[in-house]
Amino acid sequence: MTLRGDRRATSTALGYVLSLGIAAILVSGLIVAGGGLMESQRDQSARVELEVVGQTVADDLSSAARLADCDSCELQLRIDVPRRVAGESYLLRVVEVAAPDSYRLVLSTGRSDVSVDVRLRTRRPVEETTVTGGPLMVEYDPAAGELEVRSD
Amino acid sequence: MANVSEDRSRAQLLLVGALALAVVFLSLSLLLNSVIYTENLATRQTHADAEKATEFRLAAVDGLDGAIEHANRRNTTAFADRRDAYRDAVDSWVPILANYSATDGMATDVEPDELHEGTRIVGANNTTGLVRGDGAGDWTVATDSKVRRFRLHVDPSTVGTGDEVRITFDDGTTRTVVIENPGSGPRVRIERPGPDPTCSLSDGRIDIGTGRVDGEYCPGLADARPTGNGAVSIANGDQVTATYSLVVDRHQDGFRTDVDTENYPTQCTPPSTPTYGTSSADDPYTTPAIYAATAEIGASTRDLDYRRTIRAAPDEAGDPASEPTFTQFLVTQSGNDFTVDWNTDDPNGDIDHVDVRVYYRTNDTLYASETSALESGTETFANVPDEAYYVNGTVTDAASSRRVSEIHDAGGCPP
Repeated sequence: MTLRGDRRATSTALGYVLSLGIAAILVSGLIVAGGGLMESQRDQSARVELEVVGQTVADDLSSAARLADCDSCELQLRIDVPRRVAGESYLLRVVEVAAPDSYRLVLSTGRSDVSVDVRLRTRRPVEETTVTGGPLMVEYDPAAGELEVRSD
Repeated sequence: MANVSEDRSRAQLLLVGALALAVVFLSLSLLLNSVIYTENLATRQTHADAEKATEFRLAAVDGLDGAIEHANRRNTTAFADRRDAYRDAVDSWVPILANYSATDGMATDVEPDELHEGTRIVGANNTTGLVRGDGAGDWTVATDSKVRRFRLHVDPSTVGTGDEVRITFDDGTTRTVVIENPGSGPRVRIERPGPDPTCSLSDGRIDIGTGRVDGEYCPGLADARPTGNGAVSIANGDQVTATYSLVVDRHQDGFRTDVDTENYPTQCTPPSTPTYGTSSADDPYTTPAIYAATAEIGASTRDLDYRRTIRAAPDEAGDPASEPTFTQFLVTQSGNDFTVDWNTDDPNGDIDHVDVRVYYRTNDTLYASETSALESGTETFANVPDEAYYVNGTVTDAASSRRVSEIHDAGGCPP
């Protein structure tokens, strides 16, 4: 007896295979697409958040420099910014562009490697430094005549 | 064949897939939520405390300005009296400012510090013009001084056609405020490098310190203020009647003799009618006044801790006055011996040396010179030949110097 000519009950098996296959493709497609979306959204939101944090810090640094415009000034200003952006910690670097008043804040996340530059001008020199993201303290050093940024 | 209804492994693919997708979308929503939070952060005012501190600083400077003006307006001839009035005014105003700041969430304090003694010059007689003690209308008001709060009240009806009262400021650049009447009515014209702006004068109030004529902004007048050390002189001051007042940063003692020497170059010091009297009965007169004041201020909030020194000198133009000044310059002549006693003061406390020089008045050549590193002292020039001399004192600090000049004659005055 041969089964070659026997086509009974194949549609049920075929139906199963097809529906499982299509469901698998659909689900994995959705997961891949969702993951990709997730990835790009995370980069984008990290960028947006770093920009916001950078501009907040730049603004507060300028304000601090405006306040500390005398040799006898003593100033401590706390800047409250989030510790994490898009679920990641980040570094903030103060880089001097042109002495004595032009600076660049470089904010970068570690894992997703998103980096944002914010330019600022201040009335007082700012010490070049690197701090981890989170609440910061800006302090004016009257002896050196410059502002220092450190983690609070 | 197994019982289908008991097979619990069915639909695992869909379940796992749906779960994975749910996780993806959930974290996406968390992510977007954090973006929304950050965007919200971006719209917040970031430097509210810094702005409040700046407002407080400006309010404190304004308050000190008011206290200085209050103290300087008192009719007194003693600086101690003005200092007390100033302290009283500050003491009553500080708690008000502190209460006001406290309602704004900021703890503040103001600690009055130093006073810089200057001289206030007042011509309060409204029947005379801009004249010196002997009534002359061409004279020097101030020499080598920083000038602030220069106010005049001219009687506009006395500004006749063709009159031209000239008040000249010379701090290296010459600028002249001219009160004149070209036929169309009294007006103020400012002569300076570039075009000469004019402003009409109806009430007669000219405030050179704030650049206002009759209470309205007059373009160019504020620029006429001397920004550095300089001389103020008046020409044709007797053509109008006016009252006026101004404050200079020099101590009365050295200032008066220096102005006298400038105005009366042919008379010994003091001249028969000095440029300025010393009491409010004289016209014009000088009194010791507060030129500037400093204070320590502090402001703190949850996020801010701020301390600094502030300085108030109402209507001062240019850099803060930091030039040294003689608080005493007394030349005592006994026959042919000159004894010079001096005392000096410096707002920034960096006096370097004091020179006392004696010059022949006839040809300006040096007779004798002494240099001292002391801030106060005495020099004697004995057996000076019978001649007329300028006895000059120059006090020099790190960046500037001030001179006092007197005229004396070893052969007997007048020279």
